[in-house]
Amino acid sequence: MNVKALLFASACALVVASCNNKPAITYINDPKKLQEALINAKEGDTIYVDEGTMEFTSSLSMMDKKNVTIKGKGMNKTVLSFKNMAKGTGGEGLKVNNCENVLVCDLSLRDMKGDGFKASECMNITMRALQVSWSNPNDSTNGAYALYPVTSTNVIVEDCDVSNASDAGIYVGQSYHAIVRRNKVHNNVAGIEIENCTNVDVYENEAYDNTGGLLVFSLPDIPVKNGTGIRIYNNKVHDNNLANFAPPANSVAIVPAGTGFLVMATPNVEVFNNEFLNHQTVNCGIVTYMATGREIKDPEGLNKGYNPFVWGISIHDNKMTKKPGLPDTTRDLGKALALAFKGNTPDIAFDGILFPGMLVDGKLPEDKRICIRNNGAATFANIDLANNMKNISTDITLFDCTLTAIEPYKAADTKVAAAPVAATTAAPAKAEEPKSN
Amino acid sequence: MNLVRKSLFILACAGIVLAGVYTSGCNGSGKLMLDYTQPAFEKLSEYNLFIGKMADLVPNEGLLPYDLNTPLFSDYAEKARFVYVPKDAGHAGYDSETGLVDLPVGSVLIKNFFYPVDARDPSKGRRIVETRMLVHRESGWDADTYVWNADQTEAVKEIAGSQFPVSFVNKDGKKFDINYAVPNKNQCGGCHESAGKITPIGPKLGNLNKDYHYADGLKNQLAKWVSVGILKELPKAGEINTYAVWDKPETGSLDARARAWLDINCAHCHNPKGPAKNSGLDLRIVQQNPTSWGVKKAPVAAGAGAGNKEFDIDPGNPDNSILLYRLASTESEVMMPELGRSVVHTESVDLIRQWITAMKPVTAVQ
Repeated sequence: MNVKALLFASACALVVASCNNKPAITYINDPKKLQEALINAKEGDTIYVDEGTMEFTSSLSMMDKKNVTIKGKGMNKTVLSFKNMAKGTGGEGLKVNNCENVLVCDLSLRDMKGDGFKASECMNITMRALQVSWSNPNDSTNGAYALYPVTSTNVIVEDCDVSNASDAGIYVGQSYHAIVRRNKVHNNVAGIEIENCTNVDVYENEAYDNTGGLLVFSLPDIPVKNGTGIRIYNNKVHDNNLANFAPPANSVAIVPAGTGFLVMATPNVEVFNNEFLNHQTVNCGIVTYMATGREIKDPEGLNKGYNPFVWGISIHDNKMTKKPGLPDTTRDLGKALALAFKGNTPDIAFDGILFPGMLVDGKLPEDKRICIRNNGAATFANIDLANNMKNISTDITLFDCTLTAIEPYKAADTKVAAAPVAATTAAPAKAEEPKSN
Repeated sequence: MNLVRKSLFILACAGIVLAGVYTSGCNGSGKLMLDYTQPAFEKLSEYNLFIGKMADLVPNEGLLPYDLNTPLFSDYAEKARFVYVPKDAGHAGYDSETGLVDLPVGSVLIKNFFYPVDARDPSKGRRIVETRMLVHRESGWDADTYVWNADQTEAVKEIAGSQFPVSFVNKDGKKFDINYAVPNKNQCGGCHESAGKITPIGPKLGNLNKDYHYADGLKNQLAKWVSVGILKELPKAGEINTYAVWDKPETGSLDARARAWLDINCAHCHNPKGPAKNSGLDLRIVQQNPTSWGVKKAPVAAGAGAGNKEFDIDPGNPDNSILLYRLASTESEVMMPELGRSVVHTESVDLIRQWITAMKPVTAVQ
């Protein structure tokens, strides 16, 4: 071959290499380059993260983006470690704010100072196959939430593995339309917590070795008021008997160890086809916010704002077994059950407090009842918390009814705006001229 | 390559080098280059913000310095602030509730962060660490930051954030060795975002309402902003809720100083449209509902940040108040604000402690 032919051949080789339709994927393996990539991401980009452990000294974040995917090589291969985070650089590992159509998948987030992955003000946010954890188990200084979508619309959390959070492993807060499915949540205070959310399906998750397996709460004094329309089904919830290690002021600090499922102050919740196995305190608890013993100071009052009661709860076709022995008496709810039942607490307990404004002839209307049916040999108690447990009733037949099935998850077409925020009064006008010399 | 071509090549290179030397050696000799239609420059010197030696921060024509009654605490950094409004941009309006000045498109806010080597002895000089710019583009405000070199001759755009050690001695003679954190572009938004958009924080009528030593004499800042055309006219009496100077008791009551300090240090996130709105805590000075600004308010998503305290503010009981606990901490999962602070601002912690201690204990609000 002469020189010319050789040149020609090399040129061809180059052409062939560069004509491959698929552009070569660049896997990022440098923390600063990854942050730059998230800042410079264009619509439609996929940002690939290399395998190995990357050490971050600052929180990683993405804002105001559309149609971006952040993808690792697998949850046990691509590890983003935040144990060396510097002070004053933020608490979260990954923070995604005000984005649309974002998928984060196939990587691990470890040892954050604060939350693992917080997504706020997002539309269509998916967290898939993420492993989020802290190295020290049972440590109240671990971050509060491992996966933390909040004030978002169309949220999907799936196939993740989260552990050792000092509050909730998966916490969906103040959001509309969410799916939480096929996750493994363990060794957290709460496994999965749905708080002040509307239209959420929680299914096919395994929650074990937490303090409480699945929680559906609505809390007062925050912008989005009560959640509603929650379905909990086909979950395996077992052995959630871990001592509560949450900081005392947190809402989950009230949860006694050995709680399978607890709904608080959230109407229209359907719990079916789940297994609740081996819990020392209660398999399913139904309580009003009054059960916390905490004050409600919602500035908008009960009519427009927060409602502390529960109604429209249906618990049916679940399998339940209790762990023998005493409930967790370190928490008020467990203590109350222990006083009444010693080591023989019921599978299902209701605090018995009804919303006075809703009662017709002293009862909740047919479509707003508390219904408990077809849960095998599950035992029940209405603990009459309003009257210091004077009239405890274990008559489950009073609650034998069915409700219309809750509507399944349906994605919204547009971002759902949070409920209007309480109006503020302007400061009293102080007649004052600008000072001048 | 023949000789002629080679020497031309060398000359061209030399030319480039010379040109480089020329520009960097002529800092501040040109016109101000603040064009909101152009992307941010890579180097701070390209804007011609300062005349003479760049590190002297002497503003070029068109830049107006300003100051605030109560500023944001940033690890004891001192700040030199400037505002630029293009001549033909029209007047700024302002928010009737908060007094935040709404500067027109084309406006730029410039904030230089520096540390005196020894605050007791100005002759030891200072180290400028960062210059942050907010540019009002057609699409909204855009944030960028420039990190100064050790020689103090240039600052380079930094988008991904960085950290470096800084040492200084404060006015009490206390030596600090901090790990200074330059925010990444998103973290700028972390504080400056409101309702999903970047927005200025500091320039509110009430916080600007003070005298300033301009090159041509002492003058009230708002009056000056009127005289240079940024504001059309002086706001009417009653439209300005003048902020107290947080560390000057003669400027306001304990309550007024504490609320001013919380407004500028916390309310950029903790307001009904800010990044921390989900907490329900509203620390704006205009918020009149005690529960909203924390009195007997239980935490929502504070995590470990709540410590073992029950309320954001427990009147008369600072040690049961989460707000004080978080201001006094430097643990990432506890400390507030989350960004821009790595040491405790002991002086403001003292102020907030006094303020909560002085509150009458209440059992219920309203």
